[in-house]
Amino acid sequence: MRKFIIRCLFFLFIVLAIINVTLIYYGGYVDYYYNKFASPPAKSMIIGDSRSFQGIQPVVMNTYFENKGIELPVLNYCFTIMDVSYGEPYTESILRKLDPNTKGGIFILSVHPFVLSKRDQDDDPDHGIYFETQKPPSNMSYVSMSPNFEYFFKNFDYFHFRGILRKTSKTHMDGWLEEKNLPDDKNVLDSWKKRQLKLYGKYATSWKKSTARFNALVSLSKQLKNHGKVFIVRLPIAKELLKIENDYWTDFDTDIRKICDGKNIEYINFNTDKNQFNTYDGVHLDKFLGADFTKVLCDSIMSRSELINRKIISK
Amino acid sequence: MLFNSFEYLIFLPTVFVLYWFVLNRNLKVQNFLLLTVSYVFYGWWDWRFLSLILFSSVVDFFCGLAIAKTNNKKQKKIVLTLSMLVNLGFLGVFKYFNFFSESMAEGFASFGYTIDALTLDIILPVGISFYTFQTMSYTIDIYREKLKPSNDIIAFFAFVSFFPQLVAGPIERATNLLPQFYRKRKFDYAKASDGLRQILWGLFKKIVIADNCAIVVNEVFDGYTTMNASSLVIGAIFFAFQIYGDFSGYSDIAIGTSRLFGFNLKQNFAFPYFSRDIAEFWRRWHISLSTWFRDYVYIPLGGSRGGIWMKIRNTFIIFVVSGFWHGANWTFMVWGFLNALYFLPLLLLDKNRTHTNVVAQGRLFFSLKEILQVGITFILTIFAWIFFRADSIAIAVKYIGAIFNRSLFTFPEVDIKPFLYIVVLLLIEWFQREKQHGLEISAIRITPIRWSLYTFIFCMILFLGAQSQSFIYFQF
Repeated sequence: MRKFIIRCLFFLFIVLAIINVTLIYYGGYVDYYYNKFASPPAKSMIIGDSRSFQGIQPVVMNTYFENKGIELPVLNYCFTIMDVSYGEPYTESILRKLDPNTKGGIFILSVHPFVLSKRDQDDDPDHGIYFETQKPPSNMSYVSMSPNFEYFFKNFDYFHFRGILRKTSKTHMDGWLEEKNLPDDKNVLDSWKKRQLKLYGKYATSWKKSTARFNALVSLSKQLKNHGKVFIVRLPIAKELLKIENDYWTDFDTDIRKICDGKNIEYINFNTDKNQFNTYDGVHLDKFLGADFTKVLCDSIMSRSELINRKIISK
Repeated sequence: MLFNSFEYLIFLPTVFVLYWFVLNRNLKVQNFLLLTVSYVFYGWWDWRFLSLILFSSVVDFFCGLAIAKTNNKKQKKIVLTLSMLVNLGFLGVFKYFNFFSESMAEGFASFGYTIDALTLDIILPVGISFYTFQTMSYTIDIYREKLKPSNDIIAFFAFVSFFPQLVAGPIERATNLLPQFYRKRKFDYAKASDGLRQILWGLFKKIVIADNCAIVVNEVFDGYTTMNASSLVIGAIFFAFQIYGDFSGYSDIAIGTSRLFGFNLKQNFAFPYFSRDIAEFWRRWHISLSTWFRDYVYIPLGGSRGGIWMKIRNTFIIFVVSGFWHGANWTFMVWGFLNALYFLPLLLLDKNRTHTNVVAQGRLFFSLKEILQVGITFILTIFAWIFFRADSIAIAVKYIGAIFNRSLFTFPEVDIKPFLYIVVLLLIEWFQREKQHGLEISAIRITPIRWSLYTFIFCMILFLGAQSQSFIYFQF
């Protein structure tokens, strides 16, 4: 029996060593979220769902804001709409990830109506029931640990180890998801767009605006303001999807502006007539347009920061 | 709880430690532990179904005692009938009621009468076909005086619900498994370590072979109307390996797990795709079910002892019933019927036991004749598998019809990478075809070679495995 146990433990050691090396060196290939929990505590953050997960690139921001008095580096702490919405669980995770000593960070909160909504199943935020409780990042206690075996054991189903061979997408250590192998075929992309429109159309009929989630966004922005500058951003999307969102939540932009007014928080909406960014599937920016968009976002942040600073001085 | 799940990874070592280190002094306590953990294992899906297995165990335990107690043949028969009624009644209600009801309504409709099919809104309890057959064999064997009834209720209940083989077999005979619950089990290093190897091999077959093939198979069968013929062929071949990897993988994990606890289960698959005719295939495929039907249906019907018509009748009965056992759908019956058609010429020409040894025994390669025999047998099984996989007979016929056109010679439109994994499987199984399982390599004395193989298989599972899917045979 002793020999058996020793040999089992030895095999377990080999297994864990292989997994360990994979997580440390290829964590970004084998899981979309893993690197977010294996990176050090963040001083500046991008928060939101897959739109900003793919669309806002920390590397561009870090270069742009270097030597501009902002605490860097920026971490993309965005997930997908399947796993997050604004609410208490996400807020707690964000605050856990944030370096508590940060005073001059920058925080981009990506919003749209569906990340502030109550879902049709297992979700009643007004009564403290959140669909995301058992999903990452909400189910994570240790969010800055490498290798992160808590994430591995709790979210084993999220891993796709064969990604190490395919290398079609990678979540960088700064949290940004790079899709490396998007198709060129317009028909394929059109079918993806159709699928997204159908999906969001379904959300629009079955989900409801949530006061609790909206208040959580208000509360999060207030708390983050203690650590730096907060910008609420609505990323560019396809016109058809924008119509679905605007029909679903008619006064969305007005409601968000109300959060910002008089609180030194800026709302930047990129879904205006001047929108120059085309998404590949109606929702997400590819990595090339994402880099351009991040640069434009930085320009907007810079100009508004100066505005904020002037307001503060004039007060 | 699935064998290929994270929960099982925690469950199995925990039970192992409790079994061998904490409760190893007392056989009854050890059996009670097996019973408890088996119920936890089963209840993990839906605890409500525990009542069925509990009821079935109670009925068969007392029926067994009652059959043995009386010397009156008529009374024995009554008790046996009661046990059969309960077990088959469960199967009838949960598995076949809706099918019969709907089929009857369709039958009336074809004669111009419209009746509403009375259907029950129930789900099929996992593994019901397996454990009911296991308990039925217990009472039948007592009736035939091949087995003495169990007086140990814990051992009997643990036998019925033994977690490694509870939900998808092998269907163990009470004569083999039950006595193992009466004896004190001793830890055997060689047996346990080979059990672990068998588990690893089972996981490879399930996660790398079956789950990867499943992705392509689902794509092909869902969109068969728009696929080219070569893709349809790929879909059918991959399904043959999906079902083999899935089911034999489960059996390997079940047998390997049992060996960790000192139990011996019967081999359920013996490299069936290396069979030279369909009779050999059926001696190597789902052995525990084939032998069950042979012993409890075919032989009581007269087997092959009667005249030609009796042989034909019995062959069709056993294959069609075996098909129907798999599910309440006409497709399974056609699958069984086809296999009977394949088998019949061999039986009538008295050639059904020509190939009782292993193919190319003692040689490294096939002969040309053997290649042809194995190839033809494989093609025949694939043809039947199409009916097994299709949602209806009409779809299966259309699927087969769509194979025979010019696009058969074009490149498939689906991912053919799983062929690479299948080649690895076939190569390993070819060299191991005289063994009990693909990774029975204790004869390799050089430890680093053995461990390199384990690591290679583990890496294949980790890096080439598809997203975990449930085992196909759970639905049966």
